[in-house]
Amino acid sequence: MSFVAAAFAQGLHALAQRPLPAEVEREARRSFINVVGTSIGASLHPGVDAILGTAQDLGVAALAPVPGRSERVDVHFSALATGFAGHLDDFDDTHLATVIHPAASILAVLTALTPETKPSGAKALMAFALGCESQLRVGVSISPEHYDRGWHITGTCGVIGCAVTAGLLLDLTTEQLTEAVSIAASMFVGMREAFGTMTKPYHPGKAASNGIAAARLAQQGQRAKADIFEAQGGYSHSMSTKVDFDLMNGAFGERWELLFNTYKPFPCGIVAHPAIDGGLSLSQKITNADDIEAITLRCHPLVPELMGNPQPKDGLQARFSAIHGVAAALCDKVVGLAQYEDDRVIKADVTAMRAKTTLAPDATVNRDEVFIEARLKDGSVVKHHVEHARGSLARPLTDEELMDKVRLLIDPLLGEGVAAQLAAVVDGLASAPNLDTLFALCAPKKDTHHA
Amino acid sequence: MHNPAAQSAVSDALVKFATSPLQAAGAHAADAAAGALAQARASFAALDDAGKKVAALLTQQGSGPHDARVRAWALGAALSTQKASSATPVLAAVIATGELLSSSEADIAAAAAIGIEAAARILAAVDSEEFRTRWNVASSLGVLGAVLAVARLLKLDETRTRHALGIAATQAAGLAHNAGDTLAAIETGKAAADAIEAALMAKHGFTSAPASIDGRRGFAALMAYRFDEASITGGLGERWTSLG
Repeated sequence: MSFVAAAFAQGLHALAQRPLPAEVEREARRSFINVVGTSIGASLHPGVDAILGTAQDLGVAALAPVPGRSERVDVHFSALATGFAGHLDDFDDTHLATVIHPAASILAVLTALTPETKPSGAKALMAFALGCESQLRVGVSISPEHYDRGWHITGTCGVIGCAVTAGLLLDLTTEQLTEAVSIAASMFVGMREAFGTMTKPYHPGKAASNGIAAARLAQQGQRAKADIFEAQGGYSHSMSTKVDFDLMNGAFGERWELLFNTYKPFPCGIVAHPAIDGGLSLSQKITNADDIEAITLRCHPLVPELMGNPQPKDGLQARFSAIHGVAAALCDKVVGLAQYEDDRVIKADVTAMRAKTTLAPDATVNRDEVFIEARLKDGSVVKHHVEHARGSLARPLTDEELMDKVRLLIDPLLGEGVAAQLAAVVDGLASAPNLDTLFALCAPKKDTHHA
Repeated sequence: MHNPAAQSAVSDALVKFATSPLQAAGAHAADAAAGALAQARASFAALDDAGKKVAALLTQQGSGPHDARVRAWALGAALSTQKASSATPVLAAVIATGELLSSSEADIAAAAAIGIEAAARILAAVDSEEFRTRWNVASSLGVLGAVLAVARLLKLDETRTRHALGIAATQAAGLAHNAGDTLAAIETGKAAADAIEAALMAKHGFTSAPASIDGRRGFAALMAYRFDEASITGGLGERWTSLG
């Protein structure tokens, strides 16, 4: 009988020896540009400053970059800062079945290790895709009990995917890769108690640096117990009471969890997305938002349950308010990070619009669906039915919509046109000799002065 | 939506313990910690296999020659190959941080005493066969004591100490199944490194959960099978359980 870790590493190592299927490669590129966008978009956050300040206290070498920043730090802190920024605004990708956000930690490993390992574009894309795929496979093997219990699965499973990405970049053998994922299994990070604080996005950052450490220890001959996943006192049974190793190791090359990755069009919990999508559609039909007397949303019962805050007081609270998203859509006709700025959330117009908005839970409405209705002051009614919200599995973001999002994240910080240049580099990654252009574009130009 | 608890008697007690002057009863604990520190330093003279591996690993990564995080990891791993307990990460973390800050011996010993006591009390609150069959006790509890000790050496205020505790708690880790192997020593050393990182990040304004130990999705809820709050808070600062 083969051990779970060995079968896992063999399956992944075999996948790495042949080209990615076209649709998998496409999804990997979409995940890639999306998370490049979110990591740059959040790169000036005080949490990134805190991480870089810590690196400075410790006197680390200037080896690896952090997207969006001019500082260079050691491998550990490059990974930490990049993974943190990528997930910060909860605006990154989501694998719906597990609620793993796989790409932030994986981009972090790639960012931290590229100066040393100098991968070709194809190798980087492979390491990226398999890092996402492997953590999603670990995730489905212990879902839903693991997350439901309170673990932040993005960190606890992410660390194993990060060891895979690091292992592939470091050219580990199959045996070393087995040890890398097995060592990483003891370096899990992430409890949901920290949601709503900087520690939530710290989880993918730390998953990345831990995964790199695990791969390096394996490279140096360190070993873990061969049955560390399946044993009592091992990873899987300690982290979940429901474990299915077929979902981790079955159908390699046939089932790709990465194909079920989705991208958020709006920077808040996905439950509110149909409502916001409906609000945006209505905003196209209503010229003047002042004409609105009342808005009603017939929605899935989870919307008020998870995102029911009627009058948020700041940007963080607004992320848990479907009503705010709808009100902002009607006032601004666009919903991006700007609509979740503290100042925007408390302005009179959007506060008044929220007061006019009601959620009507209805168990017959699907999770990605909403019926929105506005009654105008002249007595007329404007309606819209969102069958499947943008960004859902049934209605994925188009490449164009994804670029609209990424552009808003990158260009304000790095200059007009940079998002498009980055997208072109990511599109051509499979034939790029190295990642020099990619990371050069991620760095602020010398004459760019941030606020 | 799970709304994390805004208050925690457990965090309040631990943070107050870590930021207050040692009471008279703590003098013995500080003496005992000074003895443990002397022993630990002596055994660090020659790094063993685990310590060497970690040191090599980390210098490859561009960490500085005096990087306290890296040094604590190597020292903690070396110390753990003999006998590890929840005190081990505390000792490694305060030695490395003390070097970084040029702290006085008295401050280092007091910080160690407080970290060791805190870790021992949290262990008492969660200890059970179920806990010990799943997790590495030395690493998963040690990181909590170590972060309070380092926060004290850094002279963090109560708010930042609470955040530091949260950053450490969310990464309490290490698997029981690796017990007895070099990897267990590496896990325990890593707890010291993670504690230093957490405390430094909190110093720079990084935030975390207020109820990281006793919250509904916190350390005890996820990793423990019982939780006796009084084992942590009862007479903390007056009664020293770790003096055994």
